[in-house]
Amino acid sequence: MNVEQAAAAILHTIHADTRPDADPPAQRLVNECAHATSAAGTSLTWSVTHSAPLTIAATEGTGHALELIGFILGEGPQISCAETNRIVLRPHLGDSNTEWPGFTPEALHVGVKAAFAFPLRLGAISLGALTLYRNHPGTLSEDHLTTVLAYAAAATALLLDKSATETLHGDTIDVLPPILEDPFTLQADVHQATGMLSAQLKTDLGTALSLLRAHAYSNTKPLTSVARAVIARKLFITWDTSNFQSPDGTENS
Amino acid sequence: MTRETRLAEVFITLADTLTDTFDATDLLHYLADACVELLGIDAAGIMLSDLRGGLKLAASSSEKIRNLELFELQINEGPCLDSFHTGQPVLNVTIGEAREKWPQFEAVAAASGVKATHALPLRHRGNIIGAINLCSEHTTLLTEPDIALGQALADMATISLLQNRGNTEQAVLADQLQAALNNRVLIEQAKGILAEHAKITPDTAFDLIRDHARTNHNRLLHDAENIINGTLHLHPTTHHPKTLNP
Repeated sequence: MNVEQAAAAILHTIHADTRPDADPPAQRLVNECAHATSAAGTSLTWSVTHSAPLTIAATEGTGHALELIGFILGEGPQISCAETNRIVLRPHLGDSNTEWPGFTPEALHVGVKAAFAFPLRLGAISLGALTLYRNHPGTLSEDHLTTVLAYAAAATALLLDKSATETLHGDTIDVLPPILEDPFTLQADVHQATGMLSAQLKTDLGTALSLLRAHAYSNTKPLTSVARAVIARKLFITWDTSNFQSPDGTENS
Repeated sequence: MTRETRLAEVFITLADTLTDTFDATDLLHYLADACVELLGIDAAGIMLSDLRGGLKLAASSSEKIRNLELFELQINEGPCLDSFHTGQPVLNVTIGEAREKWPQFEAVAAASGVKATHALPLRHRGNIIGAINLCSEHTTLLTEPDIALGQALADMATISLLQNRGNTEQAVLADQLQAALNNRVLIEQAKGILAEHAKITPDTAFDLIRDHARTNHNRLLHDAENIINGTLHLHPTTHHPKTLNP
């Protein structure tokens, strides 16, 4: 199973339980990721430009504790990862105190010996990080690594959904159907159309992608065919035609 | 410049990735261009492993091969996939032979003018981390020296790609591969933004970005990022002859 298939399987599983008292998908994702990788804790951090990182979900105990410490101190693997957009690997957390002088002693105090954080991004759209904590030092096994990569792809899809929900405040659609595949596999057309639309509407890439998805959904068309129409300049999506208001609340047409 | 001097220059460039001014995306595009220039082929595309047995497109020398490679991934058949899965080169497959091996791939390859296709694995210490696809628009086949040179270029680029951190840990490999693949998405987004601003197609936008990066010795990624953050504005009339709406 390649990453997109594995990510799709994870997304289907975490969205499957729709009972009112079920854990939200993000919580299920961190729980299952911790279980699948023998981690002491995992967390999902949402970090968009110009605002403080937010915890979307964390496992009880270690995951929660370290998210809180990271949030208070403004440092830690999840913060470094979201800032640099690169994988952060600290298999021996106790070896150095200089990188996160406040965070590391706190992590060691709760028994964490290794931390691994994976960036969640789609091109220039930065979304946050998925972080794993372990009570024993050492590198991730190949098995656990490929498992985390699939969870990170699934988490990226979840955060894109979250961004879309925050973007779209229209009358017709509040929530898009969740992405049920690795968003990375979206065709090149979709990424190009995202860029074009962001330039047309003078908005960021994440918002442009949400609008593309909304237009496809409300017109029951595949995302790629909407993207191709945008690239061919046969379709001009506006805030208005997507039935959404711009973020400042005014109707643009 | 003699061919020998040019070869030395290419190998030095492929080896010299430990500088701030060159990254994985540039390296892979450079490799694709070097193959076209030195092997007498018409297009080259590079796919990288997702470390779970899947492949993703990382770089290509032209838009035509980009579309062919994306199609290959979609239908899950073709020379790159064979080379990646076996770890062996796939050589001198003419379009007639391709029909039997990969019927869907052949139909699209033939329609885009490809007459012969080849693929070389990207190998690193027993790991196959991807493959490079080479396409010819004429029936001249690759010679033994061409093949040896192609594999040497691919090996050199692979070593460069993975030695950046002097670490062969699998997670470090994952970081490099994922960054290269993510940069590909970022470049697509930048192409869209420039296409809109300059009223050109995304394909022409890519040529424009690449020409600008080459002329100014910038990283392709650097220029793409600056187009996205609005600090770089390119105009087809001043930098590039091809426009959609002159």
